[in-house]
Amino acid sequence: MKNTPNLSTTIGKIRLKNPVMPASGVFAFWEDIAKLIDLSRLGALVTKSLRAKPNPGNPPPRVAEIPAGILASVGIQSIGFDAFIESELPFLRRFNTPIIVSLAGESVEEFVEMAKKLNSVNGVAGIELNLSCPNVKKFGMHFGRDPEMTKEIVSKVRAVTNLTLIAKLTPNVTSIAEIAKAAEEGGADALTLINSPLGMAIDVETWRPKLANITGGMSGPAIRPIGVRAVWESSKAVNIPIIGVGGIASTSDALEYIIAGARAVQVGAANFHNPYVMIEIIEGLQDYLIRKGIDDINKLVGCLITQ
Amino acid sequence: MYRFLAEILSNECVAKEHYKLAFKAPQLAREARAGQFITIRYVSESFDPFLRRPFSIYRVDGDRVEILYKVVGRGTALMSRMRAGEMIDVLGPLGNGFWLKDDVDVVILVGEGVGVATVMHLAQDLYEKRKDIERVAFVGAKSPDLLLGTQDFKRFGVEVEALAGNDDWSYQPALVALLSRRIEGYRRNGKVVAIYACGSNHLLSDVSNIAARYGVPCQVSLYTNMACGIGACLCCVRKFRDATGGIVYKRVCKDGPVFEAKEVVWF
Repeated sequence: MKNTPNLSTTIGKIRLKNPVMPASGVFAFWEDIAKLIDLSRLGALVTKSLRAKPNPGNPPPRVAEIPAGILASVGIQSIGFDAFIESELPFLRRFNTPIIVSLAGESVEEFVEMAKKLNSVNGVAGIELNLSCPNVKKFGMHFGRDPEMTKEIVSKVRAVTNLTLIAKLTPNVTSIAEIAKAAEEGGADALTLINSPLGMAIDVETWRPKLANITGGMSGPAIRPIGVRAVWESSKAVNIPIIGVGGIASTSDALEYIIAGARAVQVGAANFHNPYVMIEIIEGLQDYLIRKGIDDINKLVGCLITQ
Repeated sequence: MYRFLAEILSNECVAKEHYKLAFKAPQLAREARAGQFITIRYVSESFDPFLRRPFSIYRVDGDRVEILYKVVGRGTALMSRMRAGEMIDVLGPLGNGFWLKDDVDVVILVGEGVGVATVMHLAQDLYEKRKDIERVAFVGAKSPDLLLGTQDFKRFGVEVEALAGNDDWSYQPALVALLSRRIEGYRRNGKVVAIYACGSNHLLSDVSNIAARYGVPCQVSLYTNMACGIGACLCCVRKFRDATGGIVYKRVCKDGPVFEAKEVVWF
C-alpha cells in the first residue's frame, strides 16, 4: 500500500492543503455553499472582488447560457470594502482555509488604499488584484491590458503589503505573456490566469442583446482551451507560480491546467452546474496521482511534453 | 437544502409544449414549503446545457414531487424527452416560500401559464392545513387548451375562474376586471383577502396595481435567469424599491422568489 500522495503546494507565502479553490466572483455570499460542502477542505477561499465603495452592479439580465458555459455581466456588485471586512469576512475565518481577498479598485489609489487597510485585518493570507474585469466600463480590463499600467499597480500595492500578492489577468489582449511579465516585474508573487474572455449573445426574436450590459464575460467549459493556452504561454515567460482558471469542471480539466504549468487551479462557473465539483476535483486529483504512481502533485506542474 | 439524485416516475405531455414530471423525493416532499423551488440538472457527462434549471413544485403526493414545465429552450426540450426510470440531479428546497397571516378569510391565487404550478403547491398546503380559508384561483392562459391545473385546484377545494385568450394575451384585462369585482365583493362583506400570484410580468404588475388600489396584501413569485440558485453569484437580481423609495437589486433565488408585490419595480 502506497502512502497518500501529496496534494499540498505553495503560492507565495500561502501554504495550500491542495491546489483547488473557487474563482473570485463565484461566491459573493458563502452561507449556502457552506451548507453543501466543507469549505475547510478547499485549498483557499477567494472572495468576490471588493470595491472601495458600495456598488449596485449592472442592471439585469446579468446571465445568459452559451454552449457549454455562461455569459455573465454582474458588474462587481459589492457591499464595499469596509462592510465586507466587518460583516462577511468573519464567516470565512471560521474555516481552516487561507483567505485570498480579491480587490477591484477604480484607480491605482483605490487599490493601494484597500491593500493598506488589509494590513490591519486578521485572517487574510493574500490579495488577488482584479486587473481584468471585462464588465466594468470605467476601469477593470483597461488596467490589465497595458503592461506599464499593470506593472505600476502591482508595484504600488507591493510597496504597501507583505501579503502574498497575486495579479489576475485578462485574456482579452494580444500577448498575455507580455502582461504576465509586467506583473512579475512589478513584484507579484503569483498570477491568476484567466479572467473571462469578452463575449456577446443576441436574442434573434427580439433583436436585443441577451445581457443588459450588451457584452459579458464568458465562463464554463467553452473557454477552457483559451485558459490552458494562456497558462502555457505565460508559464514560459515568468518564474512565479500561476493559478489556472477558466472552464474547469472536472479533474481532467484541472489536470490540463496543471500540466500546462499551473501550480493551483480555481473553479468558477462549474460550481453553478455542480456545487460539489471542487470536492470532486480534490478527490479526483488524489486518485489520479495514485493511478499514475506519482507521490507529489507539484511534480506534474508544467510537465507538458511537446515533442 | 440538499442535493440528491432522483428517479423520474413519470414525464407526460399535459398540453401543447407543457409537461408534468414526477420524481421520487421523500425528504423534499416532506420539507418543501409552498413557493420554494428546486433546480434540476440532467444527469449526463455533457456540460451543454450548462446551468441547472429552476422549477416550482406543482404538488407533492406521498414520496412523489411533481413539477409542471413548458418547453422554452434547449434545456426543457431535453428534459421533455426523459423517461420514467432515468435519473435527475435535484438541489433544493431553495428560496423563501409564501407566508400567510392568521387572520385571512380569503386567499386569491393567480396563476398564468406554468405559473399555475407555483400557486398549486400553496393550494395543496391550504387544503391540508387551512380549509377554513375560502380559496379561489384565477387561471389565465393564451388558449383554452393551456388552462392547466383547473381540475387539481378543484380537488384541493379551490373555486376556479379560468380565462383563456385566442392565442394572445386578450384574457389579461378580463382577468384583472374579474379580480377587481371579486375583491370589491369581499370588501363589502368585510372579509380579509390576500393574493398570491405567479405569471407574466404584465399580469403580475396589473394584479399588483389592483392589490395596491384595494389595500390587499399581495405576494408574487418571480422568475429570472439564474446561475447558482443559492444566493452566491448575484446573477438573478431584479429591481426593487426599498423602504426609503430607493432602487435596490435583490436576488430572486435567495431573497425571493416570493416578494411583496409592492416592493417590485415591474418595468
